Amino acid sequence: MVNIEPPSDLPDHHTSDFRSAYQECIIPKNRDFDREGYKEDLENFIDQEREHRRLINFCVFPFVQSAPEGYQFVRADPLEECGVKNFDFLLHDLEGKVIFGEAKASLPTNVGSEINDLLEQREAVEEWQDYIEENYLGREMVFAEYVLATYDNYATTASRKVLARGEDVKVWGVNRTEKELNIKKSLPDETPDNLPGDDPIAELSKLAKHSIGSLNSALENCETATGAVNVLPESADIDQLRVITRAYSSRGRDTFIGRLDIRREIKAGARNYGSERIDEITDELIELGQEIGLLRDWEDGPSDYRVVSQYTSRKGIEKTLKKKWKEHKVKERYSKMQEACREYARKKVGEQTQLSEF
Amino acid sequence: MEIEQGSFTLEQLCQEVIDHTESAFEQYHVKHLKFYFYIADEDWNSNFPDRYETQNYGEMTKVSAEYTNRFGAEDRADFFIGPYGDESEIITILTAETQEAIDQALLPMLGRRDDISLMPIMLEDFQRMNELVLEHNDVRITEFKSERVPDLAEAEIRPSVQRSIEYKGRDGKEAIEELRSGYGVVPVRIQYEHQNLSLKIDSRGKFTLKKINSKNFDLLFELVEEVIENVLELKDITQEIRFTEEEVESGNLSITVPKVEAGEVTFDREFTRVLAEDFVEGTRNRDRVDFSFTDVTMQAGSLDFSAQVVDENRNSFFNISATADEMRIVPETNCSFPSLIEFYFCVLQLVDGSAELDLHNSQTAT
Repeated sequence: MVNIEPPSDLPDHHTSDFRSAYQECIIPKNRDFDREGYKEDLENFIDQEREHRRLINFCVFPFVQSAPEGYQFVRADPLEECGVKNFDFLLHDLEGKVIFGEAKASLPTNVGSEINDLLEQREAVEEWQDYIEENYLGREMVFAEYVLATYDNYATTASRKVLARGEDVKVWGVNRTEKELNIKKSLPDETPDNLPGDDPIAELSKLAKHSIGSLNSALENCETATGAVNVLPESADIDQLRVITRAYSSRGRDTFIGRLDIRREIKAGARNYGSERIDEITDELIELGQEIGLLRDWEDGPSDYRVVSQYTSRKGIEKTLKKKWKEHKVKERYSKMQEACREYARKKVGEQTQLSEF
Repeated sequence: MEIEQGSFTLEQLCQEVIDHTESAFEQYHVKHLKFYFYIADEDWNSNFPDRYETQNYGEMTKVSAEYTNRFGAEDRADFFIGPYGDESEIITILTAETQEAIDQALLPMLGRRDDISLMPIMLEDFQRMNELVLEHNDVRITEFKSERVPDLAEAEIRPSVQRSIEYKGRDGKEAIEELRSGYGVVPVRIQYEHQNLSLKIDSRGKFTLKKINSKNFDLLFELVEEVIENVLELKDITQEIRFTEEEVESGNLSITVPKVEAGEVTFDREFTRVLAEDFVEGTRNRDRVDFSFTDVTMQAGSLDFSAQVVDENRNSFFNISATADEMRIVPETNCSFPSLIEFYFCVLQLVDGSAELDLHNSQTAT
């Protein structure tokens, strides 16, 4: 018997009808809900997110290590605080030249919608230019270039599609095995009709390259690595929660963490963010940690929160985090099903009410 | 160890031990003098008084700490700590205490400090030390421990097996060679015996003198001289591998930009997925070294290995990404040189005895 409380405004004589309608709905839904399959999907999602983070890092590392042409990494997820769909990273030469980069760890064969997204994001940048200048650059934007970064196996296709549409978007390809970054200049088989100038191929080659020549040569077989930046604000909640696996402490069998430890890690991952925003992110993260059951208030404890895990090692806590997050997601999915069935039952009982009224 | 208070350099203290052996070792059953060598920051000794009772012996400091002895009773252990000659970045610790006293009172504390690292001796340097000792006629090797290091020795028998062999016997010199050619193992710890000489060397920077005479001491310091240059160079490199944040002016804003000086380990043999797996497993809780790997990517097929590494003893973070030829090391804010030195030592022992550590030279530098 499925135990479900009918809505309080439903007349008592409809209670059993409501219950049976709900049951009729939830039982097959529950039966068909492939929990293991869903968990596998979640596991894949975790891997994809990790690849996304790695890709951003591969793109940013050369600029953190040696600032080619003065370009440096200044911020992850620009415009995040404005609630605008935006790029993954912003590079700035401190003189007004910027690069906005979008990282896609995988791409479908038809890159069309991804390119459209990118163009939309570019429009947002233009729309918010004053804000960007005032808050990120401290000066006028001299020119902006836009980058679609992806792993090598997608880069050639992406580059061809971008150029076939005549878009001024540079494509960077990252070779995961060789840990190398390359600017992709693969020309399309067909040239777009609407290109200006007499020599379309020359125009296309220009579009594919950065306007500063030496930046292009710096991005040829450029060695790269991961781990130079933590990109936190817009990453998936599971990735944000990894802050806990980094910053917790242990003593004997106890594992614990304080709000300040979490805040410190977030600050490092949200470089150049205002302190109010960092506080907000911190609070959201703690709430999420409690919701999935990884954090529990620890009154009179040596720290604010207990990290709930049977393990004390970092690897163990990472494992617990994944497990709890997946379980939480499964529960969330089940509550959605419940909600849908409640609505269904409600409607069904409502229909009957209306019928009987006739 | 009982040495009358005075003002001593390391050398003078050793002379004092030779001159007054009986009184120095009075309370101990055996006259074994253990030397531990560490690499340190210049002001390493500023923190010692926090944890220990200290007494000033000139350049040397006597530090004492409580520990629980094998009978369960509270006992006191004494150590003499000071710079190695003119090298203020190398610390020597002398003690006659038992291993359990050292394990309780000394090593755990040193292993957690982010300004002190054990002095690893590269296995090739270790081989040179061995040859140097054997130049003395009639020296016998009576005990040794050898480990499989594929690129330093070919193995006739099951070459792919990781192994470690401990041997005792008068014929150690021959056995080292036999085991090397048969099993591909090279020594990481050796004990020598001679009429006036009894010495044990260990690639983790520990030396034991079992006979107290000047010849023995001279030999010990001669060996240390042999490796010190490489050790100091290693320290210089690891200290440059750093993550910093710089405040820069951008128009009318002040913004923070991250700056990384990355390290790079260049392999002499191909770094494979199997090696990467063994490495991740092998660095956990190993001889007081404890590295955790999180956020690990290890794809099937060709090697695509990257991870975040944490030195659990020091809470020091860095990231690695490896190709078949190299491993880049990208430090984080709280990454310290002892963690990098110990990590590199793990690479040498577990992956490739000839791997070289240097700064990552960026091709994009303009």
